Amino acid sequence: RGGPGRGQGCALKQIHLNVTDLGLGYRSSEEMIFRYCSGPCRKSQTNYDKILYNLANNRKLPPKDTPSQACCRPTAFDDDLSFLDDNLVYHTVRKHSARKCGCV
Amino acid sequence: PASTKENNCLNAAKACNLNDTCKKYRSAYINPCTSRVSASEICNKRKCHKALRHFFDKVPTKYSYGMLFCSCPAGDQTACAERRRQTIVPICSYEDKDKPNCLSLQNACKTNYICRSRLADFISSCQPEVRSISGCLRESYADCLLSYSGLIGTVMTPNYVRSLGISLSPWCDCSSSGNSKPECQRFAELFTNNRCLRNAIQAFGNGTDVGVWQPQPPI
Repeated sequence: RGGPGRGQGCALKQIHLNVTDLGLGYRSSEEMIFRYCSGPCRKSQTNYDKILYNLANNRKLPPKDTPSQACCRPTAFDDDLSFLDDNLVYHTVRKHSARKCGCV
Repeated sequence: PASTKENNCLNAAKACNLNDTCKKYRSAYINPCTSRVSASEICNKRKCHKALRHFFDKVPTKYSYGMLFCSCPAGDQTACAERRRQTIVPICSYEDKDKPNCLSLQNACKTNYICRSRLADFISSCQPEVRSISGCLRESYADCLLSYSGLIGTVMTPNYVRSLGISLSPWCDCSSSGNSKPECQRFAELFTNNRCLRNAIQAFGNGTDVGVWQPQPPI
């Protein structure tokens, strides 16, 4: 899978869930595919990431600053998901599931 | 609260959301059909109708008919039959403030070329025939279902009526028909009392007519 800083290991995975499993407060017996990004991003480091790592190790950064390293995140989201809940009301959720992953 | 026994209409909705194409086009009509546009209008009916036409044009009938023509046990009026009735988001795509006379609605349909051709297709493909075993003059349930689903997203959008069994109607009735009452009733009964259409829907729901699973070229 492509995306910014294509990281080996960072990949799109999917699981089959009930809408209720999402934990967003919807009560529906409908089901869905949830896709997520997972995997290490070590090989995709830019000079920016290396410098930050060195500065943090050599204590050249202000003591409380610990900027994040690259991590495996969605770079594009799946189409919206619509479903009918148990009270027969429709809901649509957006940006709920990944389409592409990258180390960003 | 949904019942725990087998619900074909719920199973069809599950199958749709597990298929990328069906999920995409389902959400693409539910969104405009459930979004309020102003204090007076609950939705943009034109956008809702257009998205519904796309759904039935683009999604394999295995999924779209699965939701629209799912079979429900006679006793089930909520979890299954009401879910089936809600498939087209009737509050936006179907219901209106006033209920027009069916002949007036037919005239309105004739002024639009999509509606005019789809209604003509429905009248010919779902023509009942007493002497035929299928109940249809054209003997093809697939053609009848295709022409019926083709009306969804036009001013002639039909839906299940809240009552027992399979009872269908566009949003119109034959009150205030004057001298045209018999003509109006003949037209209304093409939906409400059509053995060909009812048999076609039941055959799909029971899985007894395998022919309807094959997609048909649009007419």
